[in-house]
Amino acid sequence: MTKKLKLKISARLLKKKTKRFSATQKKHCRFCGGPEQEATLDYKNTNVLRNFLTERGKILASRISGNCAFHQRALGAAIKLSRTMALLPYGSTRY
Amino acid sequence: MTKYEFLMLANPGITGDETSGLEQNFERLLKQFKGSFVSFDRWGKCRLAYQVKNQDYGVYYMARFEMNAPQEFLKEMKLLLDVKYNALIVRTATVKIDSKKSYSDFRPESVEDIPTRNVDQFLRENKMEGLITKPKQEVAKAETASTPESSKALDTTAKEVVVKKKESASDEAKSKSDSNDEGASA
Repeated sequence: MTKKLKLKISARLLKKKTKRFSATQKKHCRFCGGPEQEATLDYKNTNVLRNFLTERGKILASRISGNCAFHQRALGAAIKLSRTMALLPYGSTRY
Repeated sequence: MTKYEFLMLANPGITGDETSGLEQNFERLLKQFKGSFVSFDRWGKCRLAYQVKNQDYGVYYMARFEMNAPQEFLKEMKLLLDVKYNALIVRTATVKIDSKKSYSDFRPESVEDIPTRNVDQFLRENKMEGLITKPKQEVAKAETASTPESSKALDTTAKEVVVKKKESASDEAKSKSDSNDEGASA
């Protein structure tokens, strides 16, 4: 007996499979590449920190930026410190 | 000894004497509390991300030092800033640096570092040479050199016009006075 091939796939399953085998690159933490990369995470380095802010000045979620939990915590602390020193905006972007 | 950073945000109106005084006070307090001085940087005038005390710009000072227990020192430093430099220093931040890491030298872009350009040069680069205003003396020289006779002629005609105007004005005045006399007599 030969096995019957499953021809019909439900829409939900198809969606799941395409998601699993899609060609999108995996997100990675920007600060986990060694000591040099880790040193860029600094409250004075506003050019890097600005990449992790939304247009309205909110901190990006690690779900979106792809940072690991340890560096996401450090990033949040760095952004908050540079906000108090008026290096980064609290609300909208530069006036 | 652990490494520390002490960042200060000052009013843009701070003078050179006041900065040197601040540095001297910082070093004096460090000696008093047996810490080692590393550096005292002036980052320059920077544009702030938001207004602080109605100021768009501010001057940053980065003081670096090494000390074992800086609590007392920081208390004294804060007291000094609150009392003596109350109007000048707006914000401060102290950061302890990991013993494995060294001091990092990131800083915001200073307004003073941006080179100021000449307006005429900018106009020449962007093909707007017609907008360049020459200095007054050069303009006068150029006119006299190019058309001396015509300018003279222009001057004479201008004088004549003025004279004519004067004459006409005097005539009008006369006629007016005549009319007034006539009115009085009538």
